[in-house]
Amino acid sequence: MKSNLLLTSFLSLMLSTALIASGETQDFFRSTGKINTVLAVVLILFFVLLFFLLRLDSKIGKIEKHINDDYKAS
Amino acid sequence: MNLKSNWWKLLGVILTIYVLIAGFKIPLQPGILELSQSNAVIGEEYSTEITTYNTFLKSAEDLNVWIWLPNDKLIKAYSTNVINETKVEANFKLPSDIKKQSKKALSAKILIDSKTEGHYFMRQAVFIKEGKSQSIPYKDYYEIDVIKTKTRLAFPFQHILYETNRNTFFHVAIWMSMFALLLVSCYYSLRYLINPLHDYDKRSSSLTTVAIVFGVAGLLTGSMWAKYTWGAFWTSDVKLNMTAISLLIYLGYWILRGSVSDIDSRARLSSVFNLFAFVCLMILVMVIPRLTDSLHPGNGGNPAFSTYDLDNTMRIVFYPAIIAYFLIGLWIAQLNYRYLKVKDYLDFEQ
Amino acid sequence: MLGRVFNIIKKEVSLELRERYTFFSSLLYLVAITFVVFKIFDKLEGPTKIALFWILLLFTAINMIGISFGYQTQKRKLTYYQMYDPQELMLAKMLFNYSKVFVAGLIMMLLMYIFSNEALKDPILFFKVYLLVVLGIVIVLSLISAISSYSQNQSTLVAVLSLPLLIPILLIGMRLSLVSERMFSDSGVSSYLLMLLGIDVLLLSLTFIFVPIVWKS
Repeated sequence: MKSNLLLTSFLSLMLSTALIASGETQDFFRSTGKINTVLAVVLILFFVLLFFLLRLDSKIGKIEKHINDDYKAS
Repeated sequence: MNLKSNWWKLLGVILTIYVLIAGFKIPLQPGILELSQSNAVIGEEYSTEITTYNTFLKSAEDLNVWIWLPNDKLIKAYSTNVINETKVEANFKLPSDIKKQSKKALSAKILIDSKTEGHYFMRQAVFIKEGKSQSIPYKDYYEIDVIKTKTRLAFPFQHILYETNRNTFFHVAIWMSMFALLLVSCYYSLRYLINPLHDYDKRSSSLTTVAIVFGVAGLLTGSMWAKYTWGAFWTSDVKLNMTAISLLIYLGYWILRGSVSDIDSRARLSSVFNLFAFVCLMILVMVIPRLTDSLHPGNGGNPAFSTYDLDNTMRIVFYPAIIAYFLIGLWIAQLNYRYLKVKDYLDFEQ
Repeated sequence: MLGRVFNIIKKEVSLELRERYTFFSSLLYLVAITFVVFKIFDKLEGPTKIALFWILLLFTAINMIGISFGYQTQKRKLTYYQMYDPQELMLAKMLFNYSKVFVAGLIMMLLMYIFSNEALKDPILFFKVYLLVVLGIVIVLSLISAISSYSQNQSTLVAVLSLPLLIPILLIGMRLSLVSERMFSDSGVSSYLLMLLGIDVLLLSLTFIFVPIVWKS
């Protein structure tokens, strides 16, 4: 839960900076030799992996909870 | 963590860091962006303003500008005038005996070289037409061997792509490592078919999952890159569509796994489908690029990937990048596999 | 072995004859969908005609073959399982399916001819391509049908699994049939035909390797 909150806040921050930047200069992704496109690509890569890891995290959390419940019951 | 059995994770992390640092820090070679005047006439003077990229012309030593004719002869500019760091004015006298092969205008390259920044050129920069004036007499041409300056360690400069050339290490490499992961997944499928242990099936399915995640990442990054080079998020480009097809195939794999309830037949069927799908995917990869032109380098109109695009400097980052993502993918797949194992064990206990 | 295969085919044919309506419903589906497509496009010609031909044939084939390994009862499946060798059964099913799809395709060609009123420009090449592409479609669909016979929603699963796998075969077939219709010229026709044949042989051998594994349960 905590990590999800962190993620959403981070994502919204990212998105807003990207939006502000694209508003200022019309060609944010084309400026300075299109280096920002490379940045975006790396970020996309990172976020896709992060998304998958978070899913795995929550799945592991579920069985962990299971174990804890079992432990308490016994 | 035991380093002896987990060295590959460390290697993956180190290689990823190396790829990120080298992929961003190694500069792009200087290049020529545009010419103010690209039409020249034989036997007349020709002067043009050349805009370059990633150069420091003011501090360049021995700056020379050349016209590079198709027969590999060079014409030197008789005077150059540096305007600012990325702009230079060059004046040529075009000798009247430039040989013309056909009636069409002759297209020549522009080449700039300096002691400090090496040499760089632009293809199809100058179009030389037939002229009436015979005022400029015969003049010696230079051979191509005059250019002795070496290029420094830098990625090649390419038109339209510019810095996004670096995406090779992120987008192309992740796609390649997806194939490597699928190959390992097929290996475990095969082992399952030879010796039906559910362990192999778990490994195989986790590897396929990670490969699908990589495929999605490849698709998204490719689409981002395409937007800022070809102008659209989705093009009818073959390789892009091929990734989409391979994703469709492996999403089908997940649907198959979901829709068969019996554990044994699920493992068996999905192993068979995995192997069959991989062969079909290989056919796809080999066959489709031959059928149509691609926007990707190496096919269709673009310069070949192996000769020009992926030069040795790119290779020292590109190959480690594939290995790095492959190892990271293996790691994530291993985590998923361990999760499945623990889950199975708990289900078994109840 | 051939005798046993022949026996299975005979049995299949008699089963099919008993349930004639499935085959005829597929044919009716074909005619209806061709007619609808014709009404929508109003005029069938050029690449559209060829593309529609392959797509409609593909869907008809999925309709026909998709359920060929599905059995109405678990008992019949068990009987088949006890009686026949999986590879022989597969071969028989493939031959039978091939003839069904082949006939369906011929009917579709006839319909296309009637609607568009133009004959094939290079019938020999077109038929070569037709034979090979139908073979590829039948191989892939038969194996996928066998795989998905274990699932509850077999018909959807067959379509989902087989469509992406069939794309290379269909694309080569599409290109070659465009060449045969003189839409554009290509010097590498024979190499494409060989490629198609190679793909078919590869998929066929894979299918025969995998079928015993899929079949045991």
